[in-house]
Amino acid sequence: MRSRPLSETERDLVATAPLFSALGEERFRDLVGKCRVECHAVGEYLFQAGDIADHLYFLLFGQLRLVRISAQGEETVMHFLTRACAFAEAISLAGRAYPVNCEVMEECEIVVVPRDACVALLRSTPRVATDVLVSLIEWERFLLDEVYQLRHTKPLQRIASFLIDFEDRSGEQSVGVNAVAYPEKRQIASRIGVTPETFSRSLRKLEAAGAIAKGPHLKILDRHILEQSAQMAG
Amino acid sequence: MINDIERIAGVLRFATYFRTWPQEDILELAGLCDWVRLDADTAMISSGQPALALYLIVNGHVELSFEDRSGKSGLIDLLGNGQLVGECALVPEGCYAVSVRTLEATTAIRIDGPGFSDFLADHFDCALTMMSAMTERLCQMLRQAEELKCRSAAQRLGIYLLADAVAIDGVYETPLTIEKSALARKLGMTSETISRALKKLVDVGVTQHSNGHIIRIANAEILAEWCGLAGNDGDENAFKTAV
Repeated sequence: MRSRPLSETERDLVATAPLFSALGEERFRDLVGKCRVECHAVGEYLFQAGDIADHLYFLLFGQLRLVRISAQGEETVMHFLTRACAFAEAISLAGRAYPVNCEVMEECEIVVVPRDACVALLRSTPRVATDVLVSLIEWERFLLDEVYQLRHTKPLQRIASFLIDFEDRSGEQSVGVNAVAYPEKRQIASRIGVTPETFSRSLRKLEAAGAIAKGPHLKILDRHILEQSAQMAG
Repeated sequence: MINDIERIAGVLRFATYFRTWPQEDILELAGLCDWVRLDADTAMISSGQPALALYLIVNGHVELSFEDRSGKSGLIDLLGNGQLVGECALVPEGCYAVSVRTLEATTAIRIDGPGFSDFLADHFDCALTMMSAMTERLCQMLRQAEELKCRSAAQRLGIYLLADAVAIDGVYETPLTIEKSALARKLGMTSETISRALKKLVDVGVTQHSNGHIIRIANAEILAEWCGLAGNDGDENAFKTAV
């Protein structure tokens, strides 16, 4: 892992996160002076479940996955982070332990913000608590949707929804409409909570319907059909 | 004589969210609160509506449901005493993300959203404890999602039964205090799936008694291992959060 100070462009990008924009220019400049950009290689861990959350982060580019490991060592992918965004800000400010492992899927650069420096600045910043609560509420919506999908939708619907959402989230970074680089199939299966067998069966159905091409890399052929599959009665 | 604010403060100080707060802060918060009493099957908050207040459930049960982007709605959880709903009201011009409906006559404390938001803006340490409590709830939801992904219906039912089991004469018993249909909805299953799961659990020593109101577990360790909880010995929260 290598690290370096932030460039001007990176500073501007980080400033767009609600928590940091709420600090105001002067306080933000103080904070940035205490931050570093870390460059991580594939397979490295940014943090592991149970580590005290003493940093919050901003992903500049690259891909991360958030994973839980059961007592028996089984791995479940909980989320993929694929675009520039702040993360772990609420859990860090709350002073708790990270609930998941964060593993690098694709070489990435991440701004590392020390919790103590951030809390000290936030104390002197009026109304900033609201911005942190907003990020918590956004995570709550993500998890509500996740639990809803797991309880009330079928595997085929979840796969279709995932492919659509992932394409939407990766859209800004991809070269063409169908150039999205999806994670490995077994990781998607883990992320949406289906067995590899069910996943393969569902992909075959979607391919037969003309919605996707399986191949070595998944590709959406007809988004409309895929959307219909995601919406079908549960 | 105790006035209403003191009565509300008396309840707030035992809620997870506020129990570490100084007394004067709890009294100030109580000044933003009112009692509400709702009949059974009444909407407490509705998804998509402007979020104006949070509710702390004091006595009763409610069901929390979520509406997806296509407008379909499904139950997410059943909540009871001490739970807080409607945190979206802390965000200016926020809308509720979920609907909450009473399952029985329910008493709650209504906390004015904008007032509470202003209060937290002026009390950073209180805001930090709120963040911590909300984060803990998110971690529970994360574990719930993990359980839904990784465990079968019978395993999830087994974990639920273990969580409430009481040792009696060398065996464990779990009283079923809610209807099986409500239990099924809480665990994200149909009533038929619950019945099938109970039949499957017979093989690991789980039997029904008193017309299904008492569930007996012959060997809790074997059941825990069968449910994939080996390695979580002594961690009661692992059982609780697993459901």
